[in-house]
Amino acid sequence: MKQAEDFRQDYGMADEAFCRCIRETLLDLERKEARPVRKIRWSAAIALALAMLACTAAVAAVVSGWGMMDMVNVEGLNIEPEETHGVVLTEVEQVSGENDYASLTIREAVYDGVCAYIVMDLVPKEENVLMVPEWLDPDRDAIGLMDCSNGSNVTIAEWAAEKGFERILQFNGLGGYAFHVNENGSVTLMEVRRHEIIAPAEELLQTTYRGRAAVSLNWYQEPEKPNKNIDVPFVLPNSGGTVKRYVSENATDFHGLMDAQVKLEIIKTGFTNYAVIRSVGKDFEYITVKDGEYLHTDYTFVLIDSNNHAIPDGAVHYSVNADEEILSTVKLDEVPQKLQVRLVKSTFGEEQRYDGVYLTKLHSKGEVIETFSMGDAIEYQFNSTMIARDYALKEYFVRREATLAEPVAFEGAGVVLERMRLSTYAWQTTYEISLSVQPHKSTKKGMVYKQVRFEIVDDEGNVISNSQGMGSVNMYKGTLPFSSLPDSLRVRIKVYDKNGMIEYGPVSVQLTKE
Amino acid sequence: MTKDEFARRILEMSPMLYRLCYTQLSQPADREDAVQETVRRAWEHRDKLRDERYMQTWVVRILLNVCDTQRRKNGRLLPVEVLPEQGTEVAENAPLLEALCMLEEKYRLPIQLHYIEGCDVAEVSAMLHLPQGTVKSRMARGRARLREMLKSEVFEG
Repeated sequence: MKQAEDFRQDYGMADEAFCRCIRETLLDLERKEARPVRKIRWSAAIALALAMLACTAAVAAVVSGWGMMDMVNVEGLNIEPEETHGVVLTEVEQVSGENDYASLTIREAVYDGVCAYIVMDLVPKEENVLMVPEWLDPDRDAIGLMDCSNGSNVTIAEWAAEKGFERILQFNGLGGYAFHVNENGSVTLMEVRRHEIIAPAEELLQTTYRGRAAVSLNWYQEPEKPNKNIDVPFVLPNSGGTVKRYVSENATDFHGLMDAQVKLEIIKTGFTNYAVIRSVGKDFEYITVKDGEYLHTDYTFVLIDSNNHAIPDGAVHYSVNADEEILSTVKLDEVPQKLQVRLVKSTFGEEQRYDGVYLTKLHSKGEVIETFSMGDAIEYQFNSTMIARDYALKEYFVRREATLAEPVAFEGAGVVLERMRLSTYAWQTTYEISLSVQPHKSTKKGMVYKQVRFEIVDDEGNVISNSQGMGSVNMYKGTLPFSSLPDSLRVRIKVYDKNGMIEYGPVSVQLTKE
Repeated sequence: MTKDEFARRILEMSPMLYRLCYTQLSQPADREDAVQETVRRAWEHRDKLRDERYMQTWVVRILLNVCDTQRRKNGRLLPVEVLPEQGTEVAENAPLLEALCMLEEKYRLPIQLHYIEGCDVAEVSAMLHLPQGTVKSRMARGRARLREMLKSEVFEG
């Protein structure tokens, strides 16, 4: 019988990079604590003002009634209110629960046989309390992550203090939601829950959804206060209206890659459209993999349209030991001319794509009619440097990039900014740089600086973003509070050696947009 | 808790943190980011730790939260030109570890924390924010699944 110690040894020793990371973090934290920190920089203060303006607009929407349609459109469903008349339930059985920290009320809901959409208000009992999801760190994460201020780099705690909130109440347990922060610190959330079993089309309208809205509440930085929960059971009748369902006749095992067979369905309800990937194998257990391969293998189901474009949000990572019948339920803004399921297998950077069954609309005299036919599977393989998940995401999020026009040398420092790449996503800009660090004159031959700090600064020299590494490390990355790519940036470096710190720059670097 | 004591306890825990990161995150860079963030959060909020005896439970809870956040981020933000990195080499002839990595997280974590890291059921319950009964039932189901996978390698609780 193996002992625990034997099993621990199976993991191998923690690699040097991991251990070094812990040691350097401890040292870095100690250094940071030893020096005074200015809480709000000028750049942050400017961003804060912008954040407050942005929040004013958001709050105005709340005052006028932030409801199901606002939330589903945040989720990208793009449903027009007139399409959903009678679908949204405003009187839900057993709608609220509370404790002495907050109340949770289910205000609106939709259940259409496939998914339940639940809009809830989570309201603190005391005034001047801001609700924050537990997965955000108020002292670290930007308020922009709470949809109040696009691109702001002010922390949630700084923003809360500026807005007059005295305490932060963190909540946990409500997952897969869009949420909106209200002026009084409360939040409006929407959860989307997939029904585990989708009934046959003729029975869908008679099904009900029974669920619980459970939330755990925890006062931020008040360890003496216990966590408290609210648990609200509720029942939703099907309000989704008429249902049309199209199922591929054929199934595919992706040329033997899976033990099971997979079918593709399109379900159209009165609320929205779905693509469902379903396992129909009798003995469905695992995707077939070679020994030892699974640790480094990713499997992703990707829905593609007739132009081979990924359907927005249509990728789902597949667990090799999933035992569910329904492998994926994807909301479709609109049903494309052709919808196909593809399995992308990525192992050690090599990617294989297996195209499976598809559904396609039939044409009659040039017009598309609501009938679908199905096709057989085909297979092709190729190598790619693109990882599987990115394949689906790249077309969903608008992403632009800029690179350094030409290398920039920091005269006297022996440091060259060789490469820089900025990527702008919907919510932030990230950057990666490569610095070439040469041995400094004042150090022994072969030695480099103890530490190099790279800073991006504004016109007044205030730091917008910084990253640092040991002298031998020359890759840096970080985030910037920009929603669009700049034409140029002002950067400087600070190098630390035995004689102390020397600052070089700032210098202006030109960027080339791609 | 003094700074030195905090650092000592964290360094003592580093093999355990590594093993947990290993099964939670597939990419070495993600593991390093996660442990860095965990240490930072633990340091900055160390005044929240009411009883130092529970430091390990507390740090593991932070680590699991951070790993969860890391996976969320990975799902939202992925650079184009990143090649998947090869994970750390696993010792050969480690069928249990391989099977454990295949197990669903809800079964894997209780088993890993209890049987491999030596935490008692109460600690696992606190780490995972789950009732003790749920921890036990998940360990039982997880063991059953591992049995199926391993055939010859059997845990006994």
